[in-house]
Amino acid sequence: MSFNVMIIDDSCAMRSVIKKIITISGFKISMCIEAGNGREALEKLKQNWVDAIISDVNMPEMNGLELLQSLSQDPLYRNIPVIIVSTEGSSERINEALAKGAKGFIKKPFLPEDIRRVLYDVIGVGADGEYQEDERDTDSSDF
Amino acid sequence: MENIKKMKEILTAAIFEVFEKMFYVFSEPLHTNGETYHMKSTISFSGPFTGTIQIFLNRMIAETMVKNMLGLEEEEIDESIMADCVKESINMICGNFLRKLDPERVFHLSIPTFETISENISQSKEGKNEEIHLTFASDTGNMEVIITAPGMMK
Repeated sequence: MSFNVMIIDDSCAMRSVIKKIITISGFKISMCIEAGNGREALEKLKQNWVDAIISDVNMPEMNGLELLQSLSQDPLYRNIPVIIVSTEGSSERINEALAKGAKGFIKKPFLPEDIRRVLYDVIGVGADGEYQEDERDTDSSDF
Repeated sequence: MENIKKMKEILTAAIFEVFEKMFYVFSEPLHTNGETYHMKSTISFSGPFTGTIQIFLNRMIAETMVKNMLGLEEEEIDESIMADCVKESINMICGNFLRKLDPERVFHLSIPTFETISENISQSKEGKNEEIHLTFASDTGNMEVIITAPGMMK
């Protein structure tokens, strides 16, 4: 099973790193779409279906929390799992992201394993492409 | 004074974590200054405290950061990707520092800025009461981080 993923970050370098981690982790990616902020992401979502979104918070034009708000209000997009990757990791900020619909939260700086573990946990598909709901470690998120 | 010591320790830990995890750059505190740097990035934060954090780097350490983070060869590195990595480093240092300082409360971070420079910042700014200067040495060059946050140092 392969899937489409969208990576949203105003840092091109950070998008490249996350993309590389996902790829070398063995997740089967059909398409990786990149966007520099929430507004650009919403535009690209009109043309492409994605199975998961990995988004930064602190971005110009539309930040990650505003994007979560927009996605949650749209019946077409509200079920797309969103993982927040952010330098801002106070418990209040994490709770705010979860309340707005985020399914995972990764604090920067991160290790490759952090991305792999949360992505696996959120989408329920292991690096071998098999659906593994029963084997998911529910205690492994960074909440 | 105790507060400043604690802030220095937290900021040092935040810097080490960012550089080791994201850029595979290992450094150690340097107790001299007077280095000439080639670039700087600045970020502001507001919330329970307000302030700015700046990072100053020479070109060699910035190139190493790009190479290590993105796996690029020297000829593939240009100014824009270097600026991007340096801005991301100060963004992560700031967030990590504030998170370690107060994990409960929310701070708002600005979008980082980047400038190329050629100045000896240690000598020009040293001695101001409301700043903390930290200098680090790595195999590929030195860097300096300055935090200015008057409310936090009282």
